[in-house]
Amino acid sequence: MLQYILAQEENRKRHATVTRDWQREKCVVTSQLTGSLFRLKGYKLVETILIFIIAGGVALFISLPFLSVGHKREDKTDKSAQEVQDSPISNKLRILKDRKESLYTAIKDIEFDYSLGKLSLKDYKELAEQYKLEASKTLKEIDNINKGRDYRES
Amino acid sequence: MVETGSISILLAFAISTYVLFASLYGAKSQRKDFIKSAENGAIAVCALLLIATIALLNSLISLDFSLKYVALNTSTDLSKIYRFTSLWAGQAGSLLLWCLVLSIYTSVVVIQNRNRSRQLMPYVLATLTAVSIFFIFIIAFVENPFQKLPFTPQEGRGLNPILQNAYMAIHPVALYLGYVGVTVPFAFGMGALLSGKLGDEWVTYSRKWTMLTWTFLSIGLLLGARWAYLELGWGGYWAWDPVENAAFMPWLTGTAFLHSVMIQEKRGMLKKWNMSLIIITFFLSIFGTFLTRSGIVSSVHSFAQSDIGPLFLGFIAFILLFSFGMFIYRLKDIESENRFDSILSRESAFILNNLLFLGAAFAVLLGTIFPIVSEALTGNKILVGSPYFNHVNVPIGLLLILLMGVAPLISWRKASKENLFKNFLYPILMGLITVVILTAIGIREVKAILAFTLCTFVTTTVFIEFYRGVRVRSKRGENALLALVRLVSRNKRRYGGYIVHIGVVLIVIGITASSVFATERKATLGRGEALQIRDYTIKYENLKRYSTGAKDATAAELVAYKQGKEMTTLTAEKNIYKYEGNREINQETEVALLSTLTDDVYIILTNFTHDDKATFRVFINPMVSWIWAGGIVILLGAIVTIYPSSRRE
Repeated sequence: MLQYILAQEENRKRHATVTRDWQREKCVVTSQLTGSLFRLKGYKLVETILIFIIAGGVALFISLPFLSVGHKREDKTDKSAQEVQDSPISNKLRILKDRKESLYTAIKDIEFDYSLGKLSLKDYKELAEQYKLEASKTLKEIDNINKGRDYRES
Repeated sequence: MVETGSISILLAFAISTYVLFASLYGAKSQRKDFIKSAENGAIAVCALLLIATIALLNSLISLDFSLKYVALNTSTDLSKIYRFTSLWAGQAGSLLLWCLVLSIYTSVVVIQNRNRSRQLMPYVLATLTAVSIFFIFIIAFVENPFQKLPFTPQEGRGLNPILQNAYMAIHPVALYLGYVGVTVPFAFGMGALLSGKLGDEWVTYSRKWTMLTWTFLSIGLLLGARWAYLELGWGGYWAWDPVENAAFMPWLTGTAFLHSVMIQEKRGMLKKWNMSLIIITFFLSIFGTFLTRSGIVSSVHSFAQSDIGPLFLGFIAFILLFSFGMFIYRLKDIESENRFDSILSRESAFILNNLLFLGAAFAVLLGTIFPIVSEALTGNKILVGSPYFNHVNVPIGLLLILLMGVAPLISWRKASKENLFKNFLYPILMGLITVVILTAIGIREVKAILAFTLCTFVTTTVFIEFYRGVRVRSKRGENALLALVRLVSRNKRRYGGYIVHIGVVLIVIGITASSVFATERKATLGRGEALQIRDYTIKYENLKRYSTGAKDATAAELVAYKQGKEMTTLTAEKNIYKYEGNREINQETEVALLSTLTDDVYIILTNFTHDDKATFRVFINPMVSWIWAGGIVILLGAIVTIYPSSRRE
């Protein structure tokens, strides 16, 4: 018991010393950049080389797209492709295709819900018909736009 | 390695700034080379932050006390695993981890979308990088983990004893993956607003990423609760502590988004609502980080506090102004494509669900910031305790469970009234049987009866959904097992979601039972004496004192009996650690825990005397293990939902 109390007291003292040290010493915030660069001058050659390799590698990796031959031509192609993508017809087509997908999903959902007994036959028929009609209208609109496009291109 | 780590952070900051401007310039001028360069830059930032993290880990493991962070969070007696976990024990290290996680997410987004969503991606990358820049700025110039001390101490202050727990090795990482991950769906939302591409693309990506981060957030929250249960020694696992609330709020709004986004995907509706939810969820995740780290609220979970509060406040203000500014600017482009077909539909149930989730998040936010607001306005800090949070959130929670049972049984678009009775018959019947059984066995607590009944209702609903799905497939000639596998694998979101609901039910059962039926006894015993609590007898056998390199421990040996039959030997400890780490604590308790499916016997050694008399607080917490089991089920459900499809569902 006495041994335990003594050990505990010693530990408390040790802990108090560490805490005091911490309170006494003021932590000075050193500038990371200047501090690091300063140390690079004196020693740690391997680490210096490592840092330069990392920085060089990163710079090269980021510059790669600019160094690729023919990137200017690619840009031009991209721009024209972008212009086509951004045209009102393309936007309309994209919206219609999204709508088509959403209507197909809706029809599938209605069929699944009916098979699970969540919809009555009357509601199922009514909803399925409504969504199929909308889907066929959307398909027609897509076809019309595509035909108009083909005509202009020819 | 210290210099390498330090310079890597500075390089990461410089490159992130470049990535932000290069991606925006590339998008504006349609320069593919700038966009590609920005994408490479994002990957380079990830590599640099990884190098910085490895450098810090190296310093932590090799105990380089010349670094302030290492000296503040480790000591020579610390095992290697805890030297590793001390990476996230303090402010600077955990912020470095935050940056690393965000940069990994950014790299994944970049690599995944190298050849798709080209109009959206530069803006998504710019948003992700803007958030990164803020955090990297903090670790580079305000809370640098590589900050040197003017002297090298012989010994460090050690890791906070209550962080020396296996759960602390995984809980913060899981939580960070969730917290930080919220940035990705937000970035897709902002990318859509900035680019004007407000179609389905951003919604699909945001939903997938939200599901992933929601899963991490859920697991992180549960692991945190488990840690608090084992380590804080007050008998519970959730106390509406500000830091718990901080993680819970984005979880609530994220859950709301996961439901309402389905309406946008299926019906092209609630576009404005979903965009707002994503912005709010991100705001709450950053606000939570601010609460945790600024020291503005006191919390048992907060271990990393410093003067970074004003920086966070500025950042939060910027997020809100910029994102809602963009939202208002694009308002006319975010119109709904459809209208409700019927008020009696799954869409209506989901909207109600969203309102409840948002209401709960607002109530939690109000309770969390009320002490700060009251102090600012009146000079008196008025604390809001658990009764407020329980009073508001329990009814909301019960309504949400009810909706969890109702929504799957009604159809999208329009529910057929004539089918409703048939669909709800069995769940209601099972609910009523539960009420009868609970009343018959003597349970009179209304909240408990209501919660258990609703849980039975939801479970029956989910079972019926699986059963009917399997039956439909079986009619096509598939055997039951094959039908079940195919049903789930071809409707992963729907059935994965149902599995998650079962996990939630298990958690609700565990929370209800352990909060309503918990029993507590406090007693001072001499050696050989016993106390009786419910069916259990706890016999105090012996008091041992020992010292290790790290602590002076006093351990009480106990034997637990149930109905006279010996179950196991338990040890409850009270320890004084030699190094207290970054937060002062006087003493730390190690609870004795016997966990079964029905009860947890939870014993805390609160005091002892020189003649070996010991005072114990003993809790019998029923069904706590169901909460952790629920977490595992949620994880399984989430995996089913997230698991990529090999074919279109």
